[in-house]
Amino acid sequence: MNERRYQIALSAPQLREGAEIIEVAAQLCGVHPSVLQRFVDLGLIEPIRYGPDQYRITHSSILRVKRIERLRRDLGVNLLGAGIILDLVDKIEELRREVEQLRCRL
Amino acid sequence: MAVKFRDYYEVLGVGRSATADEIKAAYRKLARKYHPDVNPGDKAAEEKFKEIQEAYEVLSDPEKRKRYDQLGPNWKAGADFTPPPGWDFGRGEPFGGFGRIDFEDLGGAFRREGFSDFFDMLFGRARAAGRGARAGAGFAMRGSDVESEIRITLEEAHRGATRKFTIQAGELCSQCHGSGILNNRPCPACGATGAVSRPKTVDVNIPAGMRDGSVLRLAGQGEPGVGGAPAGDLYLKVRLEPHPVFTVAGDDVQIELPVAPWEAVLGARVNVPTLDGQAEVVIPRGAQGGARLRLRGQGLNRRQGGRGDQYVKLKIVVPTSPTEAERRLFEQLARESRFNPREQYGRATG
Repeated sequence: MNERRYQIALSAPQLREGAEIIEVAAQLCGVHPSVLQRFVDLGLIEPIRYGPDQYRITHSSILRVKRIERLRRDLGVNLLGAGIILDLVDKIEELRREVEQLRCRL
Repeated sequence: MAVKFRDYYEVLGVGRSATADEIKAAYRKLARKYHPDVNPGDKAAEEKFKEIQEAYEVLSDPEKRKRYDQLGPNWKAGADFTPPPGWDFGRGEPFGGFGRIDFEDLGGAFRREGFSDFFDMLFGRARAAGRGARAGAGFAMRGSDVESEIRITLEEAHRGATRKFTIQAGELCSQCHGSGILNNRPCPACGATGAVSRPKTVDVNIPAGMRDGSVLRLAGQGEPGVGGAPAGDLYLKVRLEPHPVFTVAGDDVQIELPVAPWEAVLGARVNVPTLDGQAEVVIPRGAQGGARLRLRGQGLNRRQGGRGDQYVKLKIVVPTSPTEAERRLFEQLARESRFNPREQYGRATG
């Protein structure tokens, strides 16, 4: 018993926000769990792994799935295309914030 | 109800004789440019996208386009619009005529339900009636989620905080209770849409350990549900305000500490600001500019316990206007010192 608890403690990652099991996350995203699984398989979202078959989806990932679904519906882009768009948008946002921070220090 | 005319052809940048394919191409082009997910946080783009969606909703549907075209070509965008005499409101859309707008749109993940009053006047009453009819038939739909950003300070990310946050959220109309119909007539309070948009203040509990980009989910604080269904959720993306002293890297913070040349050479004990106040730092003898000292466990609190570290980056600064005595001492040092900072480049630069 003690050994098992120790293992879980070792593998539990540091979370910076809430996370849900895949069924709940799928419900929150408005998709079937198998669709969410596909997002994971394609590397569009990264689950937080607790063990070999145990993982959770963070709230950031849930928002990402919803954004991808909107891009697919509104712009007709495919899954991977939507993923690339969001990666680029996030990168732009990161750079924008870096500029903001540097300006703050001038 | 005085509403402003909207020139949907102008919004999409197409002529009145444009084909369906041209309209689709124009929509795709503009939607790519103004889509809210491609322009996060840009309210102007969000509004523009709603306009584009509204225009496309009308012009891409032959029935709606025909009806819109009946108004004639002489209307100017922004002009006060009153329907021409004999305008048949009943020809809008019969019950349930939602076209391609899906329920998600109606709820408004990006508040897309906010089509203009002009649209509602031409096509919207039936929308509301449809919603009411469905609601009456036992239809229930969970409210849409709302996404927004919340800016917090580094101290709030470190210690956690409770903040009041105001969003412009839809609420069920208190007059018609979401049906859009009051006394068998379109509800005047909500324009027969069943929902009104009001500022809504929610208490946000920010737990310690949030970082830039973390997302807070506030269950049930999104758009109201229809037909007794639960409300959607509010997702708040955390944005860290730039801090004048600390920079953040993961769980660690860094501060740049100015030190005098003699402090760097001889070593010193100095106080540095930390997230919780101050801490004494020992500058080792012979410390170089740019060196980083670590204060273990003085970084940001983690969500599940523990803390990151604080790094102190040394920056050697010199007096810009030395006193006479200081200048003499530096001159004496220059004469007597054998130190060559450019030794690695050879004697030529010595």
